[in-house]
Amino acid sequence: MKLTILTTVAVLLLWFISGRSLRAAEDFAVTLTVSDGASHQEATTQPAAAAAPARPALECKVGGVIEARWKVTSTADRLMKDVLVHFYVVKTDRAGQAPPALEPKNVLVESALTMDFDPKSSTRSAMNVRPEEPGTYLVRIEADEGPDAAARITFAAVDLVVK
Amino acid sequence: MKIIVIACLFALMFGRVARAEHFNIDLTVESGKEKAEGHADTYPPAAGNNPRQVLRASREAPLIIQFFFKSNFPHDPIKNVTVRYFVALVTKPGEVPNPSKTDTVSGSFVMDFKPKGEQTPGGKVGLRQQFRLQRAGTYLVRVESENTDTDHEHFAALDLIIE
Repeated sequence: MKLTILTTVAVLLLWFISGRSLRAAEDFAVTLTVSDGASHQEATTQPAAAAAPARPALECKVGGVIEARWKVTSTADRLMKDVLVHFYVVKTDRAGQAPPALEPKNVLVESALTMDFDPKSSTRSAMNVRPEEPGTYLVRIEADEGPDAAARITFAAVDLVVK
Repeated sequence: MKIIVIACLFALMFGRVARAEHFNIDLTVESGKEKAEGHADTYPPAAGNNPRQVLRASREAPLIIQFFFKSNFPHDPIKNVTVRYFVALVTKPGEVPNPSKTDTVSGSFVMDFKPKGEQTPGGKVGLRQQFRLQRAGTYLVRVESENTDTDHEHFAALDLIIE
């Protein structure tokens, strides 16, 4: 009897966790393209799990103009209210590093917008940025569903290696 | 007859209020402790109606552009609005050039602006970017709307003189 209850609880817990993950994965599709004019790297919605694949990296020359393009599309079948779409390029210590604190001196560009997403609606942006110093930069776009307990951050990211 | 006159006056007044209140824009450029600001104006005419503030800075000085673009429209969402920003070299004061893909600082957002409620803010977008300019000259710094489906658009601008 005890074993049955424990098994049921475990199955429900797994179902709940996987259901949340699946639902979160389906709420937004995020794409990010970073280009220096000669070559480019693309990233799409990436899992937040530790087992996430390595981020794509673009190598470029210091002082060159880099273009970043992103698009966030709702894949949910319901209205998503007050979603925060947050983009930034920040200097990091190494490629693949977790997002650091956004100290103003290290942030080349940061943008944020809030929007209600109807099903299938989207927002997009293209912008130029010119890294002045060699180093590694994280280029990241996030769709943050808000402070709700079930909310998720969906993101895509590329490392920019400036030499 | 009296009612018609009052209705016409109300429509005229309401039209003016709506025209004035579509967007709030705050644009700043900083160089060290120096700062210039621009606020909401309308176009056409391309250069708007308000005089522009001027910021002087030296070549290679670190600069920061920042803007907040907020909807004040109380009625319906304004969909697929383009918010474009750029820092572009101009040959004469008052000129409004088209942004170029090679401008060090330029970009755009395409998004829906939710209406401003009594208790809730309208849709908004903001950006902060570090940059430097290597070439002396006069630059126009401008953020503007496009496709708001009205007979006018909104912008904020200032002049940046690099010496």
